[in-house]
Amino acid sequence: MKSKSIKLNEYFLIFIFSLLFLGLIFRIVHLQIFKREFLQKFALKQHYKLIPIKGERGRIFDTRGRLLATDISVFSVYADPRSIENKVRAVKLLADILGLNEKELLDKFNKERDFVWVKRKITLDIKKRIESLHIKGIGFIEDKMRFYPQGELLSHVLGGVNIDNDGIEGLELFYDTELKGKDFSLLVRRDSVSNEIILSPQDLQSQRGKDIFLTIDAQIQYWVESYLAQTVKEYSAKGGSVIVMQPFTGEILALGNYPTYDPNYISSTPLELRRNLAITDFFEPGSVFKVVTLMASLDKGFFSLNDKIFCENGKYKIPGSILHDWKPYGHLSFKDVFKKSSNIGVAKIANALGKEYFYNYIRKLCFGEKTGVDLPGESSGMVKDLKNWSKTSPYIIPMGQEIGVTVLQLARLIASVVNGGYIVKPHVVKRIVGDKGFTKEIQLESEEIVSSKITNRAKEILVEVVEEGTGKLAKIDGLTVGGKTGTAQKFDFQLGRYSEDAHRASFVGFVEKDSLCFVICVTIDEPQNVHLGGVVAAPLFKKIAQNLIDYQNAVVKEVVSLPLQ
Amino acid sequence: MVKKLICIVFLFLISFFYLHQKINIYVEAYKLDDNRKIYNDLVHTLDDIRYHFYKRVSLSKINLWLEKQNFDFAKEKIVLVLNKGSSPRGYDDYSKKNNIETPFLASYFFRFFNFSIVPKTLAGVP
Repeated sequence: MKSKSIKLNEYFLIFIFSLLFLGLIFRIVHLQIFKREFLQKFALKQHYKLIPIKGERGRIFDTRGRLLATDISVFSVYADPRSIENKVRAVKLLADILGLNEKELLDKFNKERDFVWVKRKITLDIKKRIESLHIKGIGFIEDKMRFYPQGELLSHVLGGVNIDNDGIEGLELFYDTELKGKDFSLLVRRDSVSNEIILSPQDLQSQRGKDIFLTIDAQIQYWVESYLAQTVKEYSAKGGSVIVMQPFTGEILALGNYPTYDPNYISSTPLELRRNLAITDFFEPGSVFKVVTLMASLDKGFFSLNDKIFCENGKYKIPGSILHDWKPYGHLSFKDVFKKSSNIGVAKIANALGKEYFYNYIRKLCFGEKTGVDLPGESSGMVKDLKNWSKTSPYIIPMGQEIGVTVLQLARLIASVVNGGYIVKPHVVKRIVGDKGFTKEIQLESEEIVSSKITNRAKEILVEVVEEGTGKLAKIDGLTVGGKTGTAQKFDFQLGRYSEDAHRASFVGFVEKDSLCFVICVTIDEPQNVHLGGVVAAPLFKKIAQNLIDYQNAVVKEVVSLPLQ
Repeated sequence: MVKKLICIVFLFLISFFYLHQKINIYVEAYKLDDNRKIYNDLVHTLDDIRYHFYKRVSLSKINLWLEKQNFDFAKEKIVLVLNKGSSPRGYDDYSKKNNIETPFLASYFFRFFNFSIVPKTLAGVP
């Protein structure tokens, strides 16, 4: 009886253990087969960590290698509000260092979250100051920030980036693909005390974007911007733009607008200020457009330079309007019409050419088309179709009304006069340099549209405009200067007619010395008191041209090395 | 018996070298991580210095200073004198005495590599 009960107990135990083992086997099968993927991921998460490393954006340099834009390491401060012991004290200290509003920060810390941003993108010294406070629950994440060392200089060309370092304006936007770096993640193993160790061989360098070298010279740009600002302030004008261009290659040496902004703070800059007016805004150019009429008439050969044109003593009835000259003239020679900028003379010359010929000539000089500059938001200007021309149009378009042009288009026009009749493609990027020495040079593009005989004659007349005509204030002793002044009345859309008070003063021209030659276009929007292009814009042209030639001429002739005594 | 012993020693050696290598890898990994941290710190410091330098010495500020000091473009020939440190004594004395200019490259070679590339006729001068 006793042995039977023992045997039963044995069977019972065997049964129990078998059940336990079966349970274990099922659990193992469950963990190893059914929950395999989940547990594998869980273990990987515990043992390995992916550290995201942001690819740096490429740098931007000027033509002489001066740094204009670069990425720098910064830190973003975050907080785990639940871990902060004394929130009021922490808020007071952080708000003081970071320049934040105490109440807003306290509201953030009182939220039931375990992560809130305190401030994005602070510098190393501020990080160190915060670290020295030993506030529990405050941490830092490494970040990259776009930094423009020259501040406001060249802001409209450089543009800017958003908080995620993506280009949103200017070159940063146009060349975003080239500038953008490649992000990558670093795989590290975590030991028992969460120390990070790198076990597998990896390339620790993220891929930086390509570097860009501009055609722009920061020193010339500085002069352009500071002299432009002076002029705008002197005449209490609304704004202004200047372009300095190499006429043979289309390289833009400086491009400035006023008002300007600091690209380091682009996110807080109004959109209005960010616009690159020299390429995005078109306007009625006024008398500077007479250069087109000059070229068209020389090309057709209707007039010789000394042909007399009667300028109606300052008042000329045209279909639908009456034309006036800024000063009454009687008979003027063909040359003098342009030298003295007679509206009536120009209207008569253009009328003699015929409106179809003149319209085609405007198109031939590529007005109404984008120049193809490597900047975003370029406007193509506005050229009315011939079928839409009114009876007045053939008289006033040749003197720069009823037509819209950009400053860059005017610069390209003057460049074609100087370079012997070639339309060049303006550009601001000289070369793109990538990793491992890869370099892409920007190809020059130009097309001959007018013969050099014609442009040489036009050039001579433009020089006379400065020597004896309306552009005298642009004259520089010892240098060849040519150009055309322009004073355009602005159209008042509310009144539906040209304004008596709002003008645009312009001067487009070139300066030459020996082998050096540059095109400079200046335009000042709504100058007060004085509004003549020859008085407002020509002196600005002169100041820039003088410095430009001196600067390009100032080469170090001799270098002597002496030992230290 | 000997065969067994050899086998045990062999297994021990293999295990030993395996573990030794494994530990070495971890030691190197820790070192690499330390170096990465040092490198990152240096990059951060460099960026910080660069940031503050450009904040204080931008092109606009240099120009304003030049304008304040009334600097202007040189109208005549410019001679730049670079003070580049001491040059080979013997050759320098000789060249001064005989009114001969020190070749640029020669003095640099002497300074950095301590040998002269001056023509023999001159190199022999004490």
